[in-house]
Amino acid sequence: MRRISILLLLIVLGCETMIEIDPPEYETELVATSHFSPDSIWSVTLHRSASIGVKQDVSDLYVEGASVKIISGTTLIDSLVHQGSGRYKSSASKYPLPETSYTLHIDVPGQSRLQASSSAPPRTLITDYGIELLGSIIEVPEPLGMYRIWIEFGDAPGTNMYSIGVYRFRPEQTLGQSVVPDSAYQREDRFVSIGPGWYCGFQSALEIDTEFRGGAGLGCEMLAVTDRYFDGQKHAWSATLELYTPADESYGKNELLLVLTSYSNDYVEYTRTLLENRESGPFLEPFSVYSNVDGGLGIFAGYTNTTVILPLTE
Amino acid sequence: MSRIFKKTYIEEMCLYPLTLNLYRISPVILFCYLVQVQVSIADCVSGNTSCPNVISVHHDRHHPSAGTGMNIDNANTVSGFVRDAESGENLTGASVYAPHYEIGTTTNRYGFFSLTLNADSVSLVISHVGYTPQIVHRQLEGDLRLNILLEPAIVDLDAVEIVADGSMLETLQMSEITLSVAQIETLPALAGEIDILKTLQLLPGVQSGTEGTTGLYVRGGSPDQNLILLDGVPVYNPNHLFGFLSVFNEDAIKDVSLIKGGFPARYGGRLSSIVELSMKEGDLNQYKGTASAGLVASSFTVEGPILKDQASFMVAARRTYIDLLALPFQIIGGGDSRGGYYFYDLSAKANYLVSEKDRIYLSVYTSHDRGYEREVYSSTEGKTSVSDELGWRNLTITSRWNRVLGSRLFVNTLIGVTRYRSRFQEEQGGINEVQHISFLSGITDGIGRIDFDFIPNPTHYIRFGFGSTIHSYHTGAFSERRSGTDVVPFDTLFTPDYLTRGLELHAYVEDKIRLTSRIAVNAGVHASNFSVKERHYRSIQPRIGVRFNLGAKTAAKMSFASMRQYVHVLTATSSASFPLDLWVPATDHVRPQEAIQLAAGLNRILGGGLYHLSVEGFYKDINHVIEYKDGTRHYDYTPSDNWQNRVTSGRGTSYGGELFIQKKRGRITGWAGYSLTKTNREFAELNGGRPFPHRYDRLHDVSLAIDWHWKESTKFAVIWVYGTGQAVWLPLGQSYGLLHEPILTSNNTAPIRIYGDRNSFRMPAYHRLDIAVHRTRELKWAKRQLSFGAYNAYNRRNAFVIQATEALPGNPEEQHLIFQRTTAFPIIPFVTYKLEI
Repeated sequence: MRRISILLLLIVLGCETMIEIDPPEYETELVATSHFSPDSIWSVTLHRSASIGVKQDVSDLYVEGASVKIISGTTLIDSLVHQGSGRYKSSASKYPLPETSYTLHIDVPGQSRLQASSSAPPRTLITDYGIELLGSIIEVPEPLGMYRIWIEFGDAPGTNMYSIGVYRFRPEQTLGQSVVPDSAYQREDRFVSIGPGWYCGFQSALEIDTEFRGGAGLGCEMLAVTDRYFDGQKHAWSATLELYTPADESYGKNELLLVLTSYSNDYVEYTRTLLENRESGPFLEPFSVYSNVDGGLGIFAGYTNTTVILPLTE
Repeated sequence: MSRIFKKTYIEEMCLYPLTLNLYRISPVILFCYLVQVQVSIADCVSGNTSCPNVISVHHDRHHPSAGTGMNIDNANTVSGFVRDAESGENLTGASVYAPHYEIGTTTNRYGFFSLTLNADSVSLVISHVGYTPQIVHRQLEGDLRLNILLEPAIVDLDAVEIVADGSMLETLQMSEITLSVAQIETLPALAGEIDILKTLQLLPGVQSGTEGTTGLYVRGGSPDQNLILLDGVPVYNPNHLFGFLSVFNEDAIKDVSLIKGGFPARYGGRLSSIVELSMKEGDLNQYKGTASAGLVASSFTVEGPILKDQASFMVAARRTYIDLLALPFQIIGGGDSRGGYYFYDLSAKANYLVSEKDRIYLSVYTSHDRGYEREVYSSTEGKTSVSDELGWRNLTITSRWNRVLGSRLFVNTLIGVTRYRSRFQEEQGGINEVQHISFLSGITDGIGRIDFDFIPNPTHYIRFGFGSTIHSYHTGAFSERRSGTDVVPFDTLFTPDYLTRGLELHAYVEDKIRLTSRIAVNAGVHASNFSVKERHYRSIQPRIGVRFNLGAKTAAKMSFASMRQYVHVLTATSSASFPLDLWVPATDHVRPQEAIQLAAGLNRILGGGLYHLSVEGFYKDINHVIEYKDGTRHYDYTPSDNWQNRVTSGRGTSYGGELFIQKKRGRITGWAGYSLTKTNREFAELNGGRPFPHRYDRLHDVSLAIDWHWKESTKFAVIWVYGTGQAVWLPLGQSYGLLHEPILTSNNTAPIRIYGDRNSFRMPAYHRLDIAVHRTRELKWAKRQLSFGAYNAYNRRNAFVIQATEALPGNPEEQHLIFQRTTAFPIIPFVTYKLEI
């Protein structure tokens, strides 16, 4: 629907100029960011905000020398150590637990304490999953197969949000670092259909949008859904996607990883508002990013992955 | 010179016959009798004013009933209609004055008047702006029916233009400005498209929204708080082209009036203003028409008799050709993609004079805006397409029956419908799948009302009436349909509770009482009830207006009005009027909007009647206005959301002063207006509960509109406006957020805008000069007018919007935000050509 804005812009056909505006006095704030899950060690990034209009290298904004602690109840779980670029990590390789409430304490000399609390959701109970080859659809440039994959899982009562990602081991083409044991997984995104109720991307799943609503999702990296249609019930999901067949030796393993992620409300709200904030435009109302960090800005939010392995057959 | 001497002189002067053109003597008639302005000897001697022989009265001037009240035991009533002699159209607001008794009245919206006198004969002066006054003498042997035909004045540049001087002192209504379409047509306009609503923005107390748009922000109110009535029924979205043009074709409109405060009891349902537009009725005597062509649109008007002197019609139509102009470029560009935009509007009216006492009217208005684009993609497997369409429509149908009951009671019965619809739809046509999304919203009102004007004697003018409106609010029906061989069929309405019905009932009574020759009061009460989903809101809204005449040239006025509004609008954007704004009703959770307004002012005639000066101050308190909560946006629909969950309510105040000086006579006419206004809003859930400036809070607002009638055939017009910069809500700071990926850690950072207090920034001050030249030539068969000029003549780069944007998009390490200003309207020349047949 934001096309309307574009249409209006075309109509006014205005001239744009960069201008100098003296903004009101702005006092910078500390910004803490941590998305944690039971599959990754504790990690927090800390930086300062800056006045608008100031061209500043991001690296100048990173904050060092802070005391960053993870606490559960009254128990100190971990003290994170600065590893450069404002990133603080667990030196004891400690992992968060699902369904456990944690509090983040950050003390920077001369500043009041930053504090935030959140938890990672429980692992999702997957009751059924599978994959089947529907047929070979094209032979050029490589053998390509059309597969159907499915999964069934139980939804806990209350508002929940899920995403599904499909990954494939491919050591020669490591596009990212994975938290799964083998760190050479590549996202598969050639979805032909993504299942009723599922959307491409977080924002579309949270709102009614016009893009890829259960239809073709070619190029969609993250399939997402809210449980508004299956709150507290089992949900069966299936999709069809194109995959290069196992005959391609570059893959090494004949299997797919299907990762079902559930998110805390803090995570969802932060991501949603961050995406909205980025979409700032002349015909859109300003949109502030959600923060659960007292004394500063940023986010401390949990999420939980549940992974199944789908064997690929020719 | 003493006041007594002046008075005596004037009376004597008026008894002497002078042979003058009627329109030349009109000022003094008005000065002498309408408002008792004391004409100076110098004026009379010099010939600036003349002294007519118009009065023939057979009564004692010092009759105790004269000027204050009447002994109505032997009273006779003169009643009837005042009409245009050429076209037969009723004249609204014409003055009917009995000078010897120092009493008079004005015609109502349908041209009717009633004047009761304790006399056996009377002389009446009937006058109206732009018409030659007429004086009639009649013996009264009972009630008298008198229909007056006023001749349009012949403009003589060296003579004095005919104006109803003094009416501003005589009228009790304050904060009201009436403009004739003739005044509006002369002023320069954006792209040459004459716009009635934009002309209203030039009046003090009325602020424009974003540049170039037609939104009216009256005394700190929002556009939804204006009741815009076209022949008695509301028009909800008066915008073409996203608000850059109003939907009213000036060729179809007879006159327009604006009331900003001191609302009489007969009006209800909105907080901030009443804008009344009357369509032309159609010439009863002859066929005529106009055709005009401009840069954006062309229009034509046809009117004439259906039955001579009994029935007439008027049809006016206008269409833009933006789509047609764009089409060749799209064809040249090749490809299968097409896009375009057009609007049209159509006004039609017919009336039938059934009898001397009955007249019926039927008027229809419709408008449609449509923007569309369709992109087609071809591949070896076939074609796919994406098409978007955005459209909105207005429709009003009004039928009215005027009935004169006796000589003192006038009844108008109105049955009407108004409907506004907007729709956005998108269709993605794949090879094996079609997906269709649509969003439909709007409002439909069925209206019935009866209004009575009862004029028992000159000291009372009683209006009363009642009516009902059935509202159907379509608060956004969002649906999706999907079909095809590759997908599970899907057809869902995400917002099943999109339709809400409400019933609004109202009744009112008001009495305009002339307490003494100097003091008059209009007191009334408007009562209403709104029922929606088992909830009933009731309201008693007192209204009062008082006028004190302070001498012959000055009147002081005060008013108090309590208003209630049962409809809200949820607006999509701060910058333009989007057709997808939602009109929503008061509900269980969202209370009706309420306001009280106090106003006081002085009206004075200056320069021997050449200038009218009005100074007013006001204070307005508004309650239960709504806004979207933080963290929600108009376009972000979630299926589980009801709009009520996404809004929060608050209050607002507005106060200030306005100065308006108007010159209506001579070669140079026009006005200057200045407003000093402070407007803020306060919501417990917004801005940390702190008050913040309203979006269109503008401390200083200056407007100047001048017409210079240089020659018979040539006119110049100039508009200059200045305003404090618009309040905008911009980010103060920036940080870096993490768009996190749950599996792969190739996350990217993104600049985050950190917002401070709402509307804490100010755009640079706004100012603009528009100029127009009109050349008129009489042809044998028609009159043609060529108009040309420029909008924003000195090319001021006014800010349309200011936003924070990424300086180096795509480079995360160097991304930072800067402010960017968009100027929508640089200098825009225009030319229009108009033929009147």
